[in-house]
Amino acid sequence: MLEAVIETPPEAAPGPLREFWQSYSKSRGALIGLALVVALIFLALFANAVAPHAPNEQYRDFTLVPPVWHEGGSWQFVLGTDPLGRDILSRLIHGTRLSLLIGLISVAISLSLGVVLGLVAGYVRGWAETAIMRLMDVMLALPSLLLAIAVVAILGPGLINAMYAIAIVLLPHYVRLARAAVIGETGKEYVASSRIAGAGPLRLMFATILPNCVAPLIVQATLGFSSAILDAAALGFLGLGAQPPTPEWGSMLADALEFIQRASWVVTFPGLAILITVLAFNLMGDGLRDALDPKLKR
Amino acid sequence: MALLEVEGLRVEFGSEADPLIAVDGVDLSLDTGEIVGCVGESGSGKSVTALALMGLVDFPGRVVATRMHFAGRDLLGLSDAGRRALVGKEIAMIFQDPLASLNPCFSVAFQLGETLRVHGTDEERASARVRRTRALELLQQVEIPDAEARLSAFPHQLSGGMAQRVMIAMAIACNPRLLIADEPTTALDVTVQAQVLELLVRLQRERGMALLLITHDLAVVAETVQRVIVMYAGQAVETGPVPEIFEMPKHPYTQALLAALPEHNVDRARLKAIPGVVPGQHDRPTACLLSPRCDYAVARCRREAPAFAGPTQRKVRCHFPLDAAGRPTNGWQREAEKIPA
Amino acid sequence: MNAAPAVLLEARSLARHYLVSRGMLRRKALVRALDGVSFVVREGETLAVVGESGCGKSTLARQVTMIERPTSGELRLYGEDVAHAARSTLKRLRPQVQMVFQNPYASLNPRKKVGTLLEEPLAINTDLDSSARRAAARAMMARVGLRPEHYRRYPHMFSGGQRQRIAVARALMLDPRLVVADEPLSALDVSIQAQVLNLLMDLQQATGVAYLFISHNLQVVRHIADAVAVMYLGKIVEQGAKVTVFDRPMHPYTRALLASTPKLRSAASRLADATQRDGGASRRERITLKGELPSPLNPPSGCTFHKRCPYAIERCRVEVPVLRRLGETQVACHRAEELA
Repeated sequence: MLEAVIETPPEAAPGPLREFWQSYSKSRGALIGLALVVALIFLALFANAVAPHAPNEQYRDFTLVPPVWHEGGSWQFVLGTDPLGRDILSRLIHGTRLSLLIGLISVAISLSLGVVLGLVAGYVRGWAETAIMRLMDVMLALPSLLLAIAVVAILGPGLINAMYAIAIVLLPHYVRLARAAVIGETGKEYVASSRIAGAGPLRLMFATILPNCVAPLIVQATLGFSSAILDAAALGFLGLGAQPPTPEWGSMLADALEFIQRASWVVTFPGLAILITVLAFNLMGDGLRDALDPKLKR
Repeated sequence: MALLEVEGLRVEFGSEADPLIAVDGVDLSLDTGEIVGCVGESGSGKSVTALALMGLVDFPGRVVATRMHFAGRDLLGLSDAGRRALVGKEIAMIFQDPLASLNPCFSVAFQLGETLRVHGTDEERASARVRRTRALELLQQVEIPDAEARLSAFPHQLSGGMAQRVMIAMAIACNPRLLIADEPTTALDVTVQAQVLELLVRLQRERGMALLLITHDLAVVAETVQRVIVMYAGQAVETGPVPEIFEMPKHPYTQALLAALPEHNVDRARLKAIPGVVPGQHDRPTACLLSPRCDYAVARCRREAPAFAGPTQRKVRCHFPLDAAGRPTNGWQREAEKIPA
Repeated sequence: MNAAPAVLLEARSLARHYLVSRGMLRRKALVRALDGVSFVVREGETLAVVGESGCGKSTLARQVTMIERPTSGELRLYGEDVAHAARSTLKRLRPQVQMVFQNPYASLNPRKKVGTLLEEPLAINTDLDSSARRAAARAMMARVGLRPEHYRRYPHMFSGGQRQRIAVARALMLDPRLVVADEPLSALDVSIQAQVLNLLMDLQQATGVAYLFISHNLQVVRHIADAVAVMYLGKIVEQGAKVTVFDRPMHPYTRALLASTPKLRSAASRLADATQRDGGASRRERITLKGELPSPLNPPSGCTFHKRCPYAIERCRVEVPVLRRLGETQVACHRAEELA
């Protein structure tokens, strides 16, 4: 007859999600970051309802109107208008949608491809690893913006191509991270345990090892979001990303450069939007890393 | 006067409202040249006791004691500088995993020299050459073969047994009066374990050091020490001399621990295991901590916390301590049926 | 008289060598982790493999569980060769040999719930549908003393002893004939060791599974084993029935191991000693070995034990002793007859 096991009461053992939230919410910066990101997502989803005007509608009689708190400003255009008479606030709000979309798609492409390549490199080792990692080394050796420009030059300017370019630029980071995580996990006993249970290489890579490598990848993905937005803005600024009249923040900056003395608000607000968004994702990423890093937990 | 006197030691972690009580009112005393063993399983608080003695319990841990005296000096009231002068020089400690306790970036000679540089004689503090000679001497005393070559080795080049000897050398470098060894042989192979224990006992005898040996291995304690303190869930439950405490245990936990050993179950197919697990932070019983798992628990045990009572060298924390035949005394009567906890 | 149980696993001169790089400019070194071991495990019995670190027991575990191929030698499971078998054969035979690991904190996938962990072997190797798998998992959980609500928990919510129970349950899901237990109790507290040891023995009684029990704890081995093999630096130095190896150890290393193991000199064990032929002297001898385990990259010539052996002679330095039968045990020592 086996002894029954006396165990800790169920309340004392929170599920992984609640435990994660408890760690995450300890940091004020992380919570601020999360709040900002949620606000941005909200703006992106409901841009049509929230923005006071259509983003591309030109009010010929109201070009270069200053923001409401300057003299000459009005509540009709809270943040003022640009040289073509378009409301800056509405353009910024719609631009949120574009920036978040760019971030999401670039990171998604990059992450999925990077994880697969990293898993293969880390699990299979041998010549596959050498080939993949040396290719990544070459990509890392080029300055990221130049690489992005090169890709766009080949594919042609435009928002979609800009996303591909950014995905390629971000790829080596995920591959290296995934490979390092896989190599770290493969030696562990639970992997041997699954192998003895009969798991084949595919199951081992994706079902057994990958879930344990997710933490650093999530953190990198969040930080990658902000990288993507900055890169998209840079490409837009160079005229290689979103084409006019798309209200993308980077191209808004490009158009407004000559007005930096006369009508500084046309430049400032898109710049501020980029700043706040990147800051929000960085704060959230830092919070995630602190919450997910097992070494910090003890 | 005893060399080390501790009364009512209590160490807590976590919030004040809902603390994790690691050590719950432990009394401990050691005379010069005595070897005392502190035995317990995980969660018993034995390692935390040692850390508290050394002043190594960091914030947010809280250490309080009625008395904590070493050679007449109050350990609790020491300033940081006072503690640094004492620890490493008069009280030394060695830890369980020697390879984790040595700094991987520095050579053996450097690390031995470090202790001498801080706590050594004036000569040792001044001259590097004197330190190196002394380091060589120390390595020879701990029986490291080819000591000269080992001086310039790095920790990762040493085996577990070698690394533990280096740790012992560092600990005895300044002739401490008390050496605390926290599971010094648990991570080592059994033949190396025997060598290291012999070394510790020999050094202890030669230098007249007091030795506090902390371990979970009852057999190690039985072969090495003179007196034992058995700990459970942060409390001391029994003290006594070896071999008496193992031949005639008074506390049901000691009895149960002994009964669970394969050595004492030679003719039985199944070992007599203790049911249940050690209480954690949230399910600490109110009265006797062992009552949920004790074979002999009755209503009084669940209602009233037993005091740590008895003659100085033979105390027990139990309402019904066991007699020489292993049966509870003090008018104990088995309950008709166990009340579910 | 009962016939001995059928042979389940047979190893003959099993060897596993590794090439280790020592830097770009130096030639690779050969580590003979397993250097020709031969043994037999019978159905329903426990063969204990005893040795210290570096003796090759983990390598042996990897060969027996078929996650590595041996460099040379034979390994047969129910007479079928697995050392040189095709992948498909190994896949078919895998359910028969499972493993329980030493570290309960590392051998369970931290991201999977207990139920998933227990069902995984069934999902991979059988055609059972999800409700059948779940039923099987729940039945096994009850068998090892886990509660039904543990099904949905994650490993980090359990203590070491409970995790080891989960590991044992997982190993038994496929109803294997042999379970390799690699130091299953070493990371557990004394009182929990007793619980888990009882569990292992009960399960052996109920299912007739055989154990290859790797341990350095001689007291535990004495309790659970039927036969014992003592390993040193990749070779078996002594092998035989438990009673003979413990009561009349022949090899100096075995004697040193037994002598080094600390013992409680309780009245009961003193009584047990008094009934031994030598008054228990072999257990009491304070044979403290000199020196440490030699590096496997540079093993001593002849008998690899000769540098630490208190009885070594010139022949030991030159000639490698062969494992040969002496009475009821097998010993690899030139001086075994003299020292007996």
